[in-house]
This record gives sequence, structure tokens and C-alpha cells, in this order.
Amino acid sequence: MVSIDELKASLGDLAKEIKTDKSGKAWVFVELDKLKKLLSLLRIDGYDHLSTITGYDDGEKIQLMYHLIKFNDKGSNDINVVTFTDRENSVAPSILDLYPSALVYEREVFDLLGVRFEGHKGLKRLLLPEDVPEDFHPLRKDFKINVEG
Amino acid sequence: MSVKIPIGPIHPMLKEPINFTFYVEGETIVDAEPNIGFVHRGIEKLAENKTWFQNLYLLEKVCGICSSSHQGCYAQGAEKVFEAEVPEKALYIRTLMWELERLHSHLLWLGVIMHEIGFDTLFMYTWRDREAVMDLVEMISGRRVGYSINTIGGVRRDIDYQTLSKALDVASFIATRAEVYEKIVLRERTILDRTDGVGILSKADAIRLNTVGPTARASGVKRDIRYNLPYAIYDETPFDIVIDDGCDVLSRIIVRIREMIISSEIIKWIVFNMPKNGPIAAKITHFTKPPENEAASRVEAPRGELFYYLKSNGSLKPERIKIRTPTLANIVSVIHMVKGHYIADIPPIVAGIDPCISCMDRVAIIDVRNEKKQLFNHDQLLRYSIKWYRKNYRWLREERG
Repeated sequence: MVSIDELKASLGDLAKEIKTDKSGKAWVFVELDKLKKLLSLLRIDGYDHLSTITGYDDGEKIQLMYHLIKFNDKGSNDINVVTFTDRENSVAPSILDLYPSALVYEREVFDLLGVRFEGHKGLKRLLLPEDVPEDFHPLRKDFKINVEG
Repeated sequence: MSVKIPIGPIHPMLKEPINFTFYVEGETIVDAEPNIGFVHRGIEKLAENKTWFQNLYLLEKVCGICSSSHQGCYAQGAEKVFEAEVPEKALYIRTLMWELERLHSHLLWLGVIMHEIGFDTLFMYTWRDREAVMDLVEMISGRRVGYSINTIGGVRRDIDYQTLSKALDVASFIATRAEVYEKIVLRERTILDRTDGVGILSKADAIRLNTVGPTARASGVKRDIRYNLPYAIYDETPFDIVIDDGCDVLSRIIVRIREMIISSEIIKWIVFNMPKNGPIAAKITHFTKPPENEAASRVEAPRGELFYYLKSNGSLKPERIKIRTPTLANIVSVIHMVKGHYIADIPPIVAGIDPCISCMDRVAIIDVRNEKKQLFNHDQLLRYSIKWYRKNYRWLREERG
């Protein structure tokens, strides 16, 4: 289990807010322009496993969550880094140079939520066919599906 | 119920379509590009339109083989969201199902990889042995696949003594069979020719590319969610992590075979230590509203780390459900693994991470030197690779030592 004080000490004032949930997992909130700096600090610290990037549209902003693990024989830690980007002009820095596995995750978020990752060469749709309209991003909250029954 | 536009998580598992484009120079692959999304069903969006309990049975259908891992991972996350206390006996039954699932999944995969290299005899044997596990799973849950054993707050069915004693028999049977398979795999020249030194993924690359599951452990990376971030009863369960530093397809076979032995031991431990009485589920009904909450849930599915992110808005329906399956995490590693290998090695390498076999459907092979494009389907590629090895195995043996 990661302690809040340790995280605060290592991240300094990069993080906007650090909180833990009931099960003791840390959630680190960060401004979009400091995201890459913070992730590179965590990467050096040993958080070298990116589980996935979750995109979530809360109606006002688009949340990007980076779920990281630091593997250690004596006790591993997992933390979640949360950042926000605009709904209208959704741009975020690509973290491909830090985590090569983000290749598919960034494409997935781009596909389903329309967040453009700057620095990701060949960013294209992952799951949906390539001939769907450009503003077709189904996981946005204003995209309604018809469910009967 | 009908949905107009399908969207959601993709699931490139066994027998489901995915398309690769391989760039080759002569016989050697220089680059590969996967193209996924053919079985994209819109489950993530659909899940936002169903209640927490309906989702138990929806998310189970993400995968047919590791249905219990998906359902269990979702239930485990939902319990964090509901802030529910799960009875101990429920955790034991849930873990028993997870380990049985690992057994039958690994046996299935072992058959598949043997089929991919043209060794159909072993394929028949493993699938016969798998039936023992399937029968036991049917005895416990009532169904062979899609057991629906988990619910939010526990499990739905209790387990009786006859079934537990049968579980002991099955565990011993599979352990003895796994030892036989290990002997065969390590001695049989046909298997060694096709898998030894094929599909190299070094330890540093496995860590860099965030490879998960047995694929990573076959590259000497000691990472297992059961051990590193223990959930359910795994922090009390004594077990070893199987690692092998061969870094090739052979090690992936060996790691999975040895994991079957470890799983049988865990099953025996669970049977002996399971609480005799007690409730099997917490009191959460279909109409219990969760607090506003969010949770990340991870389990070690047979193929590797399975990840769920759940968020509730205080209503009966979840706000967001995110699924990341182990195959998606390993796709980047596959691209890395095939580079520098021969076309004939594609089936064992791609099957080596335990994805769908129909992956091979519509493989396009492009020769970089003259830009000739040739389309293979799965059977043609299998026949081509077996023929190619028949012709070339002598010098290959010398080259690989």
C-alpha cells in the first residue's frame, strides 16, 4: 500500500490533489500540462506497468485515468493518475515514449471518446471501422443509444 | 432487446476475428500491423444502460473461456463500489472457480498450440483431459461455460461435500497429466523444432512493453497479480509463481503446464481449508443503490492481468465501466515477437500469447522487395508452415543449435 506522504514527497507540487479511497488506493489528480512530467517521475520511481488508460466523459470535461502498477517482491503498489481535458477541444499529450504499451490504449480512447493525443504518430481508430464519421465518438455522454425493454 | 449501434470493448480471444498485416522480406518478417475490432459489440456502452445486477450476466459474456474471471473481477469491483463485506466462504468458492477456469483454459490452449504446429495427437489428449474439469464445473454451477457463479457480495451457489471430494480427484488427475505433458513437450523433437527459440521476447522488452500473464512469466518477469496485488483469498494461499527464462514459445508452453500443477495444488488447499458453514453472499439486492464511488479491480485471468474500472453515480445503473482484457495488453508484444522470424513461425507465435486462432484469418503477406501481395487464410498458412518446416528443418536445427 502506498502512503500519501511518500507520494507527496516524491511528486512535490506537481500533483494538484492526492487522495485515497476506502480500500486504500491512491488517486493522484494532475493538471494536463504537468501530466507528462508527473508520469515520467513515477516511471523513474518504478511505476513501469501501465494497466490501461480509461477515458470517461463526465458531461463537462473528459477525464483520463492512467492506471499504473509498481511491481515489487515485498509489496506492490497501484495508483491511478487522473487528469482532465476539454470536451470541445480534446487534446492530451501522448505518453508513448514513456509507456510503449499506450499505443493501443491511446488509439482506443481516441476512437471512443475523441481525445487527440499529441505526439502519437498514426493515431487512428482502433475498434470502430475507419469509414464512420469523424465526430462519431460513442462513449460520450451525449451519444444516446436506443434500448428497448 | 435491440441495440441500434454497436460500440464497446473488443475482445480478441480464441476463435474470434482479428487481422494482421505482416511486412516481409523474402521469408523474414520485418513488421506487423494488427487490425482489430471485427467483434466489437459495444458492451461498455451497453453496460451503462443496464443495472448493476444485469451487468453481471452481460459482462460474463465478454469471454466464453474466462467468463468467471470477468464476472468475478466485475463483482469484486462492484463490491468496492457498494462497500460490501463479502463472506469468507464466498471468496473460497469464487477462487475455486477461478482456478478451475485456469486449468481448463490452459488445457484448451495447450491443445490449440499443438494444433497450430501440426501435432494433433496431443491436441486430442489435452481436450479429453479438459472434459474432467468441465464436468466438475458443471457439477458446481450447473453449466459448462458461463457459470454465473458470482454475484455482487458473494456467490450464488453453495458447494457440497461430494463435489469437493470430486474436485480433489480432478486436481490430482490434472496434476499427473500435466507432468506427462511436460515430459512429452521437453522430449518430442517435433515440438522442439517448431517452438524452441521461436518468438523471442526478452525480459527487458517484456517489462518495457507491459506484457502480462504467462507470456511475461515465460520471459522471466516475476509478475502475477495473485501474488503482487493479492485479492480474494490469495494472500493466505501458499503458491509459487512459475517463471521460465527461455523467452520463447517453448517456455510459454512450459510455464502454462507448470501453472496447471500449481493450480491443482491451490485447488487442493482450498478444498481442505474451505469454511464448513456460513453465509455465501452479503445482503445486496437488485434494488440496493450504491453510494457515489469509483473502483479499479484487477484479477489474474488465465491469460494475464484483467482490469476493470467501475464508477457509480448513486443510481441503479453504473456511470462508466471500462474493461481491459489481457489479449489487448499483449498485442503490442506480439508485433515485437514476430519481427525477424519466418512466415512459418507466425501460427505458434501468435497462438503463444493465447489469443484467438482465427487471428490468422485473412493474413495479408506483403513482400517488401517487390510489393507482391498474397492473401492467406488460416488453413493455408498452417499447411504452408508445416510444409516449409518439413523442407527446412535440418538447417534450422543447426542454426538454432
